[in-house]
Amino acid sequence: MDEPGLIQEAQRGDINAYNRLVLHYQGPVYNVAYRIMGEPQAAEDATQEAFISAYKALNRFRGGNFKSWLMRIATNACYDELRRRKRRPQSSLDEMTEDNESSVILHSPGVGPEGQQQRLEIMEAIENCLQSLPDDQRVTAVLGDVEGYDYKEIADMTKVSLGTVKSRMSRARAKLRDCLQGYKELLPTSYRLMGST
Amino acid sequence: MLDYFGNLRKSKEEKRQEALNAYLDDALSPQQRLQFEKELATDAELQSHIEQLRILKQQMRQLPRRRVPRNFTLDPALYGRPKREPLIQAYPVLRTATVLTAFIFIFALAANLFFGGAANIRDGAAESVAVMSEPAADMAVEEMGAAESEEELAFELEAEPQMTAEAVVEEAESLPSEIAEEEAAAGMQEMPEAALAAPDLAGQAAEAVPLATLTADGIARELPANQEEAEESIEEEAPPPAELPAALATPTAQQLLPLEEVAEAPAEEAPVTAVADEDGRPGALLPVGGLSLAVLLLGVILIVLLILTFWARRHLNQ
Repeated sequence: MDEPGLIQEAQRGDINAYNRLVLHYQGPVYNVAYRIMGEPQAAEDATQEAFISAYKALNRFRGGNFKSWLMRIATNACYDELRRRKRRPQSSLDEMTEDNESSVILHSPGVGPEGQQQRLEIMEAIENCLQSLPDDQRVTAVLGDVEGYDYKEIADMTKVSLGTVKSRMSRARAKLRDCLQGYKELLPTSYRLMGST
Repeated sequence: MLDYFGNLRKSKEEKRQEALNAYLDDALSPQQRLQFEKELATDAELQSHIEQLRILKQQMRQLPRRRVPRNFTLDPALYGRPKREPLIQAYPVLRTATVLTAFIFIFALAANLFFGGAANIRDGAAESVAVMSEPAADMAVEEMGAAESEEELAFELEAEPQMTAEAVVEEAESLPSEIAEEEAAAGMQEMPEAALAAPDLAGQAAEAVPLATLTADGIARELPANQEEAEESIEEEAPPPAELPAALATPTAQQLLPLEEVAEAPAEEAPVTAVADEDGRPGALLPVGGLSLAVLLLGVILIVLLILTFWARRHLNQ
């Protein structure tokens, strides 16, 4: 994919070129949105909003890492969606049950059905603990630990200082660790042993 | 700065936790890392803590990717926009340029109305003298063509720059007639240069009249007894003005134009145009019906910009 060429075409108003970029990046953007929002429907809304915002702001993109730029917009869209949902809570049973296993991609070669199930439970525990974090800490943890961005990139995406990122990451991990103590039986033995010390 | 004050508020344990996480994420400086590793080597609890966080980070990284439930592509019917034309893209620039031009135009118009009127009245006479009208120049060419009498020759000497006249006369006295002929021709060729070098008379017309008169008087007094012979030789040998190239004829005619005639030239005959200023720069603007050429030009530019801006805006909204 000729990303710079597609970006230039899209900046000139070529919606098809932009849609090719969307198809390429919708996976990472949706996953970040899902981890931050915790609900598929909210993640969809935030993702769609992010791509619309990005298209409108495309002429302000002055080169650099397009994915990081897109993630920053996605993060902002998530914050907006979170604020909107806090004002008008709309969690429903449908949304909760919609989050079924069929939408999860699990690739663990060499792991049997039992191991697969245990792994699934661990992931569910982590996701639950992630959702228990304050928004800022959750965003930092998702961008850092789930998506693998470094502190500087996270600071750039969330428009905070490097020190704030360090602080949020530290607090987020501390809370996650405490939260996961409630799922001791699911965690690896090494983790359980250390957690009990 | 905020980080610094934030760090002041943090407890020692918080700072330690941050350093621990930063170490895990490879976000410590080499010096901090070295210091932390020294501490880590002797602290078993810290080691277990680091290991615990490492596992957590690993688990987080292995969180399964979610399948995208649908495509998030934008509908071309809703979001597709035609490629903008260059003029429409330049709309903000056009708008700014129009506003700026409007301000400059208003300022220039006001300045012209408040200050231009008085200045025009004061400078009217000088400018009318300064403007070297083409009809007057033509008249001088005709006169020069017919000029054979000594009286006209005297006018010619008056109008010529002093150095040129003196050089021609002196050389005519000292050199034989053949050489005098050549020198006279050369003197005639130098005259356009003198005419170009001479100020445009725009601001110095009043000063030039007495100066020229004095110079002519001085020359008349200083002319030797055989001046008549020299003058005759110059006149005989010099090519007739009609044979001169136009480029030479025009400035020569300007030089030969009697100042009295220039002064008496009616102001209305002078065409309204831009003439060179005292330094030879074009740009001194003459009044046209109370408005300077610059204001008129600004007005035209403003109208053009307004049309372009409205056109671009109309297409932008479509």
